[in-house]
Amino acid sequence: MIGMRAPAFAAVLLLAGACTTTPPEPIADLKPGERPALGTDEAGLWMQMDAVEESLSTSGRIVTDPALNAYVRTVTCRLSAEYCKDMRLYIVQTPHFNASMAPNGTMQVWTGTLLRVQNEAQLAYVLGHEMGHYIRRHSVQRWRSIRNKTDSMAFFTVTTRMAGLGFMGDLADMAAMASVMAFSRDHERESDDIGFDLMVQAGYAAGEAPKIWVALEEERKAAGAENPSLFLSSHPPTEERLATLQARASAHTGKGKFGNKSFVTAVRRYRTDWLRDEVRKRDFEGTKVLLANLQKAGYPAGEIHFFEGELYRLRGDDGDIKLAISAYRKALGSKGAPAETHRALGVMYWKSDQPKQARKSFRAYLAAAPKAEDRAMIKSYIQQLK
Amino acid sequence: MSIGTPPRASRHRSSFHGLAILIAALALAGCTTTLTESHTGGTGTNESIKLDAANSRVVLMPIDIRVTELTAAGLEEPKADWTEAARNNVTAALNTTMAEHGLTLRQYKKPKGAKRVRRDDQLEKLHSTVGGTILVHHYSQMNRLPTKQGQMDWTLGRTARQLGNDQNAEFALFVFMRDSYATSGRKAAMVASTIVGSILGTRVAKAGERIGFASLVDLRNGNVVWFNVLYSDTGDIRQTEPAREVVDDLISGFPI
Amino acid sequence: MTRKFAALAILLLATACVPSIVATPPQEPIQVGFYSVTPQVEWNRPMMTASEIWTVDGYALQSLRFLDVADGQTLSGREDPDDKAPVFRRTMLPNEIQEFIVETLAAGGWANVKPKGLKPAKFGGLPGFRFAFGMLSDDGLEYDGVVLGTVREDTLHIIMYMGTRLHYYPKYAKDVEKLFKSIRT
Repeated sequence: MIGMRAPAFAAVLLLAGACTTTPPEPIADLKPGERPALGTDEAGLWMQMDAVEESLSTSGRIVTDPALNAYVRTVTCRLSAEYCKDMRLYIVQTPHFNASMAPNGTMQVWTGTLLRVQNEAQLAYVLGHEMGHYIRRHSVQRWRSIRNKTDSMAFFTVTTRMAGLGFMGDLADMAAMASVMAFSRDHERESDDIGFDLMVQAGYAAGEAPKIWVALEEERKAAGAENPSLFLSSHPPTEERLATLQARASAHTGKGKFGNKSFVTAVRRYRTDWLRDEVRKRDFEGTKVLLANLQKAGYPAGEIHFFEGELYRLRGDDGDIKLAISAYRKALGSKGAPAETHRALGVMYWKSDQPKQARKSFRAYLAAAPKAEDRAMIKSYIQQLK
Repeated sequence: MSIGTPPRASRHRSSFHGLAILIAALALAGCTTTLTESHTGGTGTNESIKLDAANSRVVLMPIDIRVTELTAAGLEEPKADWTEAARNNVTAALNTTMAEHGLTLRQYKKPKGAKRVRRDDQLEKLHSTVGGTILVHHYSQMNRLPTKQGQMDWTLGRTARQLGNDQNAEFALFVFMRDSYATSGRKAAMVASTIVGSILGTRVAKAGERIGFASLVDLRNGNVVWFNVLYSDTGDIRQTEPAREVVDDLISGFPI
Repeated sequence: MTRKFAALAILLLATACVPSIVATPPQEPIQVGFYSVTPQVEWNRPMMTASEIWTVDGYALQSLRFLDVADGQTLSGREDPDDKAPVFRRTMLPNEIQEFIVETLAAGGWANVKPKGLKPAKFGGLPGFRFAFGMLSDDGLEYDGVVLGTVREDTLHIIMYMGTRLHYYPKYAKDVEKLFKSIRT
C-alpha cells in the first residue's frame, strides 16, 4: 500500500546544482539587507525558500528552545553583525551532521551538528563556512548554471514530502544526489576561506577549524558506504582543502578562544536526547567513533559508556549482552550516567539469567527516576522477578 | 498502508506536488488515462447550508498559492512575480465575485498570543489534512468510505469556534492552488515528443496546468459544508480576467 | 524526482482501482488474526490489504491497526536484511517493545514521539502491556495514540489507534477502549 514517507526538512537540502564544469560567472556578493528584485530568478529562489521556511518554522522537528536558539544566534552574530540581521535560524532535530544557508537567509543547523562540534570555535567555523556560501551567492550560481542544461535532473522540488522510501532510504537517495550536485571545489575553497576569516576575526582559535572536517571524515570512513553523509556528499572534502586549512591555521599567530564553557552550558540539556537519536541510526561503527571523539572532548564518561552499552544492546549479536552489561557498569562507575542506565542494565541482567541483579537495577532505576513514565511496568518487572 | 508514516498532510503553505499527483490520479480513477479539457472536479455539498449574503460573516483564510514555470527539462521554476500576481488576482477575484453576490469577505487577521497562533496553525494544518482526505475518499469513487454513505461529512471539530470568535466570522473560506506554465522551449519539446511513456507522460505532456480547491467551513461547529475541486489546463491567472474566470469555476456552486 | 512521482501515481492508481472497503457491522465480533474484537461503531475496513487497518474518517485523520509481527520483522511485517530498520525480537521485554514501536514511528518521519504510561494490561485473557503516545507529523500537526499488545508464541500482536489531537483521536478513544475490552482469544 501507499508508503507516504518523507521528512519535510529534507526538502530544503535539495538546493543544488549539478557539478558545474563551466566556471561560475562572476557574481557580486550579497549585501547586508539586500533582497533581490521581483522578477529575477533569484527572487524566485527566495520565494521558494520563503515557502519552505514557513513550513520549516512550524515543522514538528524544529527545536524551539529560546536559550539554545539565542546561543547559536549569538555565535552567528559574532561572526558577522551585518549579515546576522538578515538570517533566520532553525535548529532541526535529526542526528545527522548538516548546516546550511538558503539564499533567502534561512539558516538550518541540525542537532547532529551540535552533537559533533566540540566547542564554540568549531561551531563558529561551520556556521562561517555556510555563511560563505550565502554571502558569495553560491546557490544562485548553481541554479543559474543548471537551469540551462537540458539534461539536468529536476532538482528544485521542495516537495520531497512525497512518496519516498522511508527516512533511511531518502537519506541515501539524497546523499547520492547531493554528491552529484555538490558545491564545486571553487565554491568550497571560497567558503573555507570566508569561514576561516570570519572565525578568526571573531576571536576564535584558528586551530579548531580543520578539526571538524577531520572528525567527520573519520566517522564517515568508519560508517562505510551504507551510511552516506549528506553533508560530506554536498561539501566534498579533499586532501587539498584540509591541507590549506591546516596551513592557514598554523600560520595564524593569535591565540583565540575555544568557547568550551558557553558551548557546553548551551547544549548540555539536550545531549542525551541527541545521542539517543544518534544511536537509533544503527550506524554501529560510525557512532562508536563519534562516542570516542566526544569522550576525548570531555563529555561525561557516564553518558558515553551508557550509549556504548545502548549500541550493544540494540545490536543484539552473540556476546553483545555481556558487552552491554560491562559498558553500563562502567557508566555507573563514572559521572553523568543517566537514570536509564539502571533500567537497561536490569533488562540485560534479566536476559542473562541474573534475576537478583536485575531486581536491584530496576529498583535503582525507580529510585533515580521516581516519575518515570514506565514506572508501572518496571514495578511489575520487580514483582515478576521475586 | 505503511506503518508508522505520517500522512502527507502538507500544511497549505508548502508545495503540493504530491497533492497534484493525487488529484491527477483521482481524475484518472476509473482508470481512464487522459484529461484534456478544463473541468471542475464536481461539488460536494451539505444540502442544507445556504449563506445569507447580507448577514453571513465569512473570513477568507490566507490563500495558499504557488505559480511555477515548467522549463524544457521539466524543471519547475518558482516565479515570485507570477505568484504575487496570481495571489493578488485570485484574492481580488474572490472578493469581487463574492461581493457581486452581496457577500463581503473578511480578511484573516493573525491573532494575538502564541497560544492562539499555535491553535490557528493546528487548525490550518488539520484543514489541509481534511481537504486531502476529502479528495481521496470522497472524490474518488473507488476509495469511498461506506460509513459516510456518500455524504461529504468532515469537520475540523469544535476548536474552530475559537477561530470564529477571533475573526468575528461564522464561516471560513480556504483556497488552495498550484499553477504552472510552460516555456516556449517546453512547448517545442512537447512537439518533438521525446517523453518516454510513463504514468506521468500524460501529465508532463501538458503545456501547463492548474490544480486547486476551495472549501467553506462552518466555524460554529467546524464542519466542511462546501468543497470544490478544480483541475484545468487553460487560462492564465497572472492576468486579471482569466483569474476571474478561474475563480468563477473554483467557486461555482458556492452556497449563496 | 520524476521517478518518485511516477511511483506514487502508480500506487495511487492501484489503490483507486481496487474497490472493497466495507463497514464493520457494530456489535458483531470480527476475527483479526488469532483473536476477535467487537467494535461498538461502524468502522471502514478495506478488504484487500495485507494487514487490518480500519478508519472512520480517513487514515490521515484516525486509524486503527491490528498488527502481527514475527521475530525479526519490522512493524510492517517485513524482514530487514540490511539491519537498518528496528525489528521485533521475541526476547524483548515490554519496555523494549515500546522502544521498538517509538523508533519505528520516528524512523517513519514522525517527530517528537513521546511515549507515556507504559503499564501491564490484559490482551483478552493474555498478559500484555499498553502505553499512550504523542507525536507530530513532519508538518507539525499534533497526533495522539495508544497501543495495546501482547507476545504470543514468539509473535508480537498489537492494536494501535492513532489520530489527530484535534477532534479525530478523541472522537473514538472511548470506543477503542471498549474494543480493547472486547478481545476474545
